[in-house]
Amino acid sequence: MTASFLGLFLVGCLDAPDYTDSLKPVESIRVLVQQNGETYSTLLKVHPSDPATLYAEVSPEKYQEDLVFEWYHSCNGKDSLLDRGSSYSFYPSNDSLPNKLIAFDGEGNSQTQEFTIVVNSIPILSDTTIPANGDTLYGTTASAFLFSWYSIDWDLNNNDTLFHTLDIDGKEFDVGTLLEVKQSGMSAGVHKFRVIVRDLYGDADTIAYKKFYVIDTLEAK
Amino acid sequence: MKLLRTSLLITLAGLLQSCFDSDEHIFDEADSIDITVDATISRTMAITIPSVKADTFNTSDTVYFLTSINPNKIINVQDYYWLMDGVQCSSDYNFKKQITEPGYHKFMFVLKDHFGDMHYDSLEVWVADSPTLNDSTFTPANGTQAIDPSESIFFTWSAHTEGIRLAHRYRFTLSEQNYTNTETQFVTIDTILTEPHYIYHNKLYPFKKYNWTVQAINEYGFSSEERIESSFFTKGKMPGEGSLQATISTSQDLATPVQLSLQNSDNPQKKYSYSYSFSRVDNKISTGAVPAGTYQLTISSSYPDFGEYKKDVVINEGYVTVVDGIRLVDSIKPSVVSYSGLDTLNFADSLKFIIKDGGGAISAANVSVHLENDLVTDKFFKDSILTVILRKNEKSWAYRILTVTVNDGSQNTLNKSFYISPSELWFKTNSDTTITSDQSIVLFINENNPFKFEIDTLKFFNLTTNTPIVSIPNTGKRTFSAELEAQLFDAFQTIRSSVIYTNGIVQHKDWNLYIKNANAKEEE
Repeated sequence: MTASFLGLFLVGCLDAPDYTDSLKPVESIRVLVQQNGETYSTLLKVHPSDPATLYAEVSPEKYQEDLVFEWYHSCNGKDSLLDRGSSYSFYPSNDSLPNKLIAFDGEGNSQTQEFTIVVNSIPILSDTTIPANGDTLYGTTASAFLFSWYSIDWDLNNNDTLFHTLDIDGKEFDVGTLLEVKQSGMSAGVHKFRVIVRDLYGDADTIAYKKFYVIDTLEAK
Repeated sequence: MKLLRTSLLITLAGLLQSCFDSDEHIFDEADSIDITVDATISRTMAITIPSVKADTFNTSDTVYFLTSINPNKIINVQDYYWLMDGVQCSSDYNFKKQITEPGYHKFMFVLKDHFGDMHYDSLEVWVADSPTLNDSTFTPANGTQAIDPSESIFFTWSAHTEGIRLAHRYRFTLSEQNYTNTETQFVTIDTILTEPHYIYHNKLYPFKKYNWTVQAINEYGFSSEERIESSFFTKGKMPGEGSLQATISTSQDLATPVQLSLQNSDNPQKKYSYSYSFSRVDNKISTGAVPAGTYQLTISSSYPDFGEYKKDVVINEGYVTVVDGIRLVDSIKPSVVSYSGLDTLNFADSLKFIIKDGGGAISAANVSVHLENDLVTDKFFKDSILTVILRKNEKSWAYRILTVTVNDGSQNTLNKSFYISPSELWFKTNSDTTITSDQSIVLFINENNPFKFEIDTLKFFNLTTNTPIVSIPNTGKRTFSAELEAQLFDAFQTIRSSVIYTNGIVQHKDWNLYIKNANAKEEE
């Protein structure tokens, strides 16, 4: 009895590690998403029209199989269990998108992670532009020619914003949210241009290069 | 066995004693010291610069991390170190560091005291590079012509801060080019934008040049080194018209009248003339609307020193023809002459000079006079006449040098020296004299120099006929007189009385001798 009591004190004096190797904690659990066969991404953004898969990635990886995952749709403090497992497939058009993950170990411990899936439509750039493909413009190198285009995105009402890049002969001009600008610097001859549109989440659209011709009105004289 | 148990107990007691060294763990409140740590950041080690708890730095900045410990740094501690974003980055109390990773960083100073108590203080640092403004791709391109002054203009550009996603704001200015003799009605725009574009909806004016600038500033307050400085031209209101704008380099600080003419090469009868007044800083001119065509451009000044500029130019419909490289430069110095036209002048109370320049009027402030090294302040300059007042005490037995310095408006400088003959004579001689032809005149010299200089020669010389009258060389005498009959002289002559000393000094006085006809006197 005396020896046990003293032994307890001795254990307290030892600078022992907090955990044995087998009890080291999970460092992190990341939620990834995959859609259309692309690689898993931590950018939880999906397009509305195709099914997507969520995946809970555990680090260190060796604990992946030791945990149990539950995917929930949480709304107004009420959780609805969607599925169990390290991955969960869903349709982004569904109203009850997953937004909470709870991981359990065999000891009754749990970790909750809340996340938000962004359902983002890809912007669409109209093929109708000024100048149209094959147009002839009259002026000089110093003349400012009008370049105009049109783009739409179903998410514009959800605070998405479209940014445009005007590419004239391979030189890119960031023109922001504008849908038309005037630019000079084009000598007589054939030229090409296109427009690239990107939304806040990096989804983009473009059109094929369009040719236009510049005839120098002063040289013609 | 009993001995073994006793030994084991003694050993265990010894171990327990090592675990609980009661002497070191007895707390005595009287011996306690409050330890506090204070960490700050600064841009320099200089104590005059205030240290702060949070700041924003450029990636090129060196950040100084400083610690102060209360009561002092020589207290007994177990450990101390700095953490940057949770990772140890220094084991010193004070250290400096260049933080190249953009973004927000939290630094914490950690001190573990003798008793194992932990003391912390933390700092916040935001780091970013200056934004990069793309100063080569923007719309409208530099020099764009024929912008419709009534339509919207779309200005676009781009900027980013390397390595971090930051919001940017932009200082945008739009101003109309100033032209000499023209007042702009355009109100300059100077604004801060949060988007990299600007649409100008309001009305511009025809055939004008508009300058616009952009500089980017990121949300950490760093400004781009690059700056867009661009311009464009508007077109006119009427078909068939163009315009001409020119920048004239000139040497003239003051306003200079300039005449510009455009003579149509196909129809010389069609000539358009303009008058401007320009200077070195106000040197851009615009013709406004002109019928398109080919012209001979002539630019000249009312001042002959500036010469004339000619060039064939083409003015295109809707465009502004820009002519640069015109130089109207006056490189001709002003001129200064005395009233007599001579450079050697007799001493007088006032001396007068005529100053001329073909590059415009000379300002009195640009005329200065020196008597040798002394500035002459008693002078007046008006209507090209310079009057210099000399005082009696400025007389001298030697030649004096009076220098007139004149600057014209083009910074051409003339330094002209005049010689003032010796005005303090050491001898007395004849003054202006009139005698009749039947009389005689006594020429005399009475020398009395205060320095006892030896006299070599006394001389009378007829300057009018350029012939000697009397010359007495190698004389040791200081006086001389000779009576000569009037018949030896003409009706008028200037006679120079001279004393030449053995040391080389020469003094002379010029005086006039008039001979009147004796018979004429009787008739009177």
